Amino acid sequence: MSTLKEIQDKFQKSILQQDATVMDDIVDTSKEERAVLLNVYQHAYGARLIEFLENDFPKTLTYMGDENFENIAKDYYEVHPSDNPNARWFGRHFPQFLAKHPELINNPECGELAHLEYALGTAFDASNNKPLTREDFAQLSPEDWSTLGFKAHPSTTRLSLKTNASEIWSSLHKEEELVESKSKALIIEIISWRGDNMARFRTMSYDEAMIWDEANKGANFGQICEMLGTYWPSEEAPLKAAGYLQAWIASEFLISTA
Amino acid sequence: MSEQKSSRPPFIGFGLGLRSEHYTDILEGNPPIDWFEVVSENFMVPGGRPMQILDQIKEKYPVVMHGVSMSIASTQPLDMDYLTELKKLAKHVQPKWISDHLCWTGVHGVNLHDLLPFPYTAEALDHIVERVNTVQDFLDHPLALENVSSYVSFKQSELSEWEFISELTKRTGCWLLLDVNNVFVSSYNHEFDAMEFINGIPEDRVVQFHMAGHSDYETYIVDTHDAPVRDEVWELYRACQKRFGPVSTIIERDDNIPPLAELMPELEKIRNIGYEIHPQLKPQAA
Repeated sequence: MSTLKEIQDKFQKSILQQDATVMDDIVDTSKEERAVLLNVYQHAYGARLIEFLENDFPKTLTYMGDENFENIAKDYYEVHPSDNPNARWFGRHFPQFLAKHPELINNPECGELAHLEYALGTAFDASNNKPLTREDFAQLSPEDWSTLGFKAHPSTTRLSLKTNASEIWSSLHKEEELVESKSKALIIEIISWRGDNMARFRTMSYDEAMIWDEANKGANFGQICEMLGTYWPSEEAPLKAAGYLQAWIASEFLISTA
Repeated sequence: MSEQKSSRPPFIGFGLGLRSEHYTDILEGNPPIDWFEVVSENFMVPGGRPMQILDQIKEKYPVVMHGVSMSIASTQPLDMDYLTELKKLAKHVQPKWISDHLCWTGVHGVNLHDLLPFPYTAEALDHIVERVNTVQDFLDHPLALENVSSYVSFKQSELSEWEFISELTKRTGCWLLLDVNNVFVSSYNHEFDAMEFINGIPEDRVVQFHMAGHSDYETYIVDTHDAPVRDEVWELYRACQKRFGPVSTIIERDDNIPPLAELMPELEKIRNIGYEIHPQLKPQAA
């Protein structure tokens, strides 16, 4: 007789790999054959995982169409079965999976659209760290400024898009006529975050994106002022840096480094 | 077990499973719903809007936490990270009790996100008893386990489902969330008498009922929780309130979720049957 562990191993195999060995352990009813009854679980597994992805990537679903999305979702859960008790995290590899899927080689906007949707989802339920405020900065002494470091709020995500995925997102969001996909000659720099309890995103200029990325790798205020010198005359760089910093504080992009 | 974990949770009335589709109606309209059951995992996220909503709900209504991923019957080790998160959420929410399902959800690090069946054997009972005791010692709240709908049964089973559940409650002191629809679905699928199930469950361990709808495929029924409660399940509900009552009850709608206003008559029916069987619950006119 099979042990509980053996039965669970076989049952899971029947769902993940359509393996039939568990059939020896289950029984027919007077109304139905066991294979049909087992199929209730086999069918529900895929349907449920596809539904998770549809809920987390609604605009990617609309853009790709039901059939195309579903086919690629099936490929996804075969490669990435859920490994977390919380379905919230099941789709975390999906944007990258779309980006690398052979059938989407000519549609890089699909992966980028999914990346943007996942970033907005992250913004929605990221932790509630207290953002830095203008008052926090007002307490700094002048000598603290040059060595001042930065830490991004967990709700922020930076994306560098090579397609017009953000425009596609916006047209879907506004339920306007869908814009045609196109690769961009120049990268579109995006930041997403939670502001006033809403998940949001906006574009960043190249210099702002560069200093944001460098600040989050550890560059201090003095260093980002120097970096901005590659974009602006050196006497204007500190003013530019201060302007960006002000905008980040106003949008609650930063938390304490302490 | 501590006093808090072992003492019987209170009767808190007739409520609903909290669903995001109803947030605005609930927070702005303050509908006459006695309490809400929240899906624990929906709020086991770092922060943001979900927790804000839950905080507002719990300010106004009693709340019970209902999980789907404890996987109490799995042969995989208990997921202590999950239980730690669950305990953290419970500390914040202060639910009247915490529930999950008598099932397993996966092995080898995979979560199949389904409520899977297992054979009712002495081996399974020993295994689950040990795990329930561990979980109850870990959580600071009463634990209730729910009977699931199932579609297959195993040659190895030595006990009926109700005998298994009864033994489990005797050996662990855990509470029961009796899903009345699931009793009906499983009785149809496995060809047993639903009343035999109900009469086989200890009278003093049931702290909550779930009421829901299902989908009938003639040779079997699937617990879809996406439709109004069926007539046969209403009859079982009456029998359950008589045997176990008064027991706190909710409508658990998981799919095809209608506007709140459409669920209220069904909730009223649940309440009225409760009042009819237990007249002492009925509020007295001033």
